Amino acid sequence: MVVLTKQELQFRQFETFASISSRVHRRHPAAPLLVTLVYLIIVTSYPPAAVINLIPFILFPLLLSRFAHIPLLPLLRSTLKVLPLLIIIGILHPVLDTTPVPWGTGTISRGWLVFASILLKGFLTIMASFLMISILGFAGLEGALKSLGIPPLFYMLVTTMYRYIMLLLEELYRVLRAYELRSGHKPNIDPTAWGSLPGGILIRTYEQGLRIQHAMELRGYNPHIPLGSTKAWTVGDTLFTVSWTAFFIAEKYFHFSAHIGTLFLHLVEQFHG
Amino acid sequence: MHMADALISPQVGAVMWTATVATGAYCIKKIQIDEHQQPIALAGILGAFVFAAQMINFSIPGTGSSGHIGGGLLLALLLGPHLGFLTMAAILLIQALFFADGGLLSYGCNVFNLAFYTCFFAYPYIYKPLAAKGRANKGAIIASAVIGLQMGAFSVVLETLFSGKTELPFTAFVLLMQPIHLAIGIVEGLITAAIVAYVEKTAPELLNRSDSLHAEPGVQSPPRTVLQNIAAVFIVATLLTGGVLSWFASAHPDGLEWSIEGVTGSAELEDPSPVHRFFSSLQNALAPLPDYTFKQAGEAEEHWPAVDAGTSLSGIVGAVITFMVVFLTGLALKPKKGVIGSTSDTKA
Repeated sequence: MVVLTKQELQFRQFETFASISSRVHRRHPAAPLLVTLVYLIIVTSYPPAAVINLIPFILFPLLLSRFAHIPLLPLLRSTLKVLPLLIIIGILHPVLDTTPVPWGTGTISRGWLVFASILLKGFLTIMASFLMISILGFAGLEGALKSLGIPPLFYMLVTTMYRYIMLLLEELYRVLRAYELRSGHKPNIDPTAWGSLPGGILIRTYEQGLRIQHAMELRGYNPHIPLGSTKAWTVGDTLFTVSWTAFFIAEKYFHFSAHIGTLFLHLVEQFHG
Repeated sequence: MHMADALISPQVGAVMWTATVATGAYCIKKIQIDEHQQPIALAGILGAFVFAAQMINFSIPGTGSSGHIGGGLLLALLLGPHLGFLTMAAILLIQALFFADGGLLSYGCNVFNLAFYTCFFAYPYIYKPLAAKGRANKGAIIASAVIGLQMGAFSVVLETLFSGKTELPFTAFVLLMQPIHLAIGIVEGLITAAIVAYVEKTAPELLNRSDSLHAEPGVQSPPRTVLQNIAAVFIVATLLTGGVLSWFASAHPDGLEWSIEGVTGSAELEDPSPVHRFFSSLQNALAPLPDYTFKQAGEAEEHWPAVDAGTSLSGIVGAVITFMVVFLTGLALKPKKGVIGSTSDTKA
């Protein structure tokens, strides 16, 4: 049940990061969203056993977090919490696929490479998604959805839900804490309360939600007013999107970091020679 | 059951995004919104409830473990399938972005697996025909939760398989996913049924709202006809036959092939005409699923039952196409109302 407070902290952490002032934060909200989407497509397009080729892509979260002044450690912690789910799926591969493949001077089981690739892809994609929401925050996300032509019904639904989640988490925490204390510290809900406990919360939430909605309407609330300020797409946004996209494509199709590495080794060899 | 980005390919992600966006657009078209945006407020509140309720652990008697609700079916019951689908999509978006519970690229897969089957298959074709008229039926809810989740779990296996990111064998993956989700589905069904029973007793108006949200104001939706119920049973039977029973299809020649073999010594006609050869090669080149299975580089040993994703997909795709052709033919051949009316009037 403590998980509820962790959820709340996670929301607040991202909102805090989104309130930081940086050049990246000042970009049009659709720009980080588009860049992240391209990044996810490129990273996941690598074959199942790709590991080395993915390493240069670590640069994206590293550099973007630096440019956005977002501390990496909390994002890293949030990412690592999710990775065990991928470990459960990936760990079967070393058992099922023992085909030896050349690795450096020796060989390695292909299953281990697939496992490492799943973990690395998982780490990169989750980190990038967390970084994107840290830059946008909820208001930015709403702005991005709106500018990308998502129908108002959907983003209004997401906005309403997000607002009520914040209210509901605290209330749910109190209800569960009360149940825990009254039931002699039972960690889970007994079948006798399967209907009444969540059902009671549901009815109360519904009534409370409607009261809030009515109160907001009486005070002149208009659901079409955006949460965040509407920004215009600028040349800077185009440059931001195009330069990151160019980097990803260059790395995927022209292996430019490998060329830089080869050039560097060649120079070192010449220097020593 | 939330899929991560690391497990899917961009191609599968794009296809499922397209399917999800198309379904979402259809739902938006179907929903009636009043000037106060009431359905959105209600959906937002209930979506927030489902989001939070997913964190409640319900103890499962005799096992020492716990389960939680998925929410898709509960939302379909409370909001109707269209708004239920959109609300589930909104929950999954927040989960993906803030908790990495499912990815951004795999968002389409997750919406489809967790919302589509419950809202557009389990709810209309399992729950509605089974539920007693006018009241929520416990058995119907459990059956809907189980079938919706089984379809979602099978969809996860197919999406993973088509993505080629993991190399888990299809059979092992299916045997891993389906039984565990059967147990999860039963628990989810029981919890959903308990919540619905409580709401029905305490605040029945909350359940009665769902039908009015996606119907024309003042117009009551017509009761399901016998034909609709028969169609629902046939759809389930077809998907089961195409998806599962096709594995048990005999590898031996069918009656016609057996007869030809008896006459000519071969199951297929030899030395066909150039026209036949041309169309045969064209068919082989174009068929995405030749011989009802995926194209394979090497020939594998034949097994029976042949548990194969290609066979299942071929069966389901074939069944859906046949349905579409029959349906469209039926529509084309259906006489216009005026014609029938005028005929009967003339007779009278």
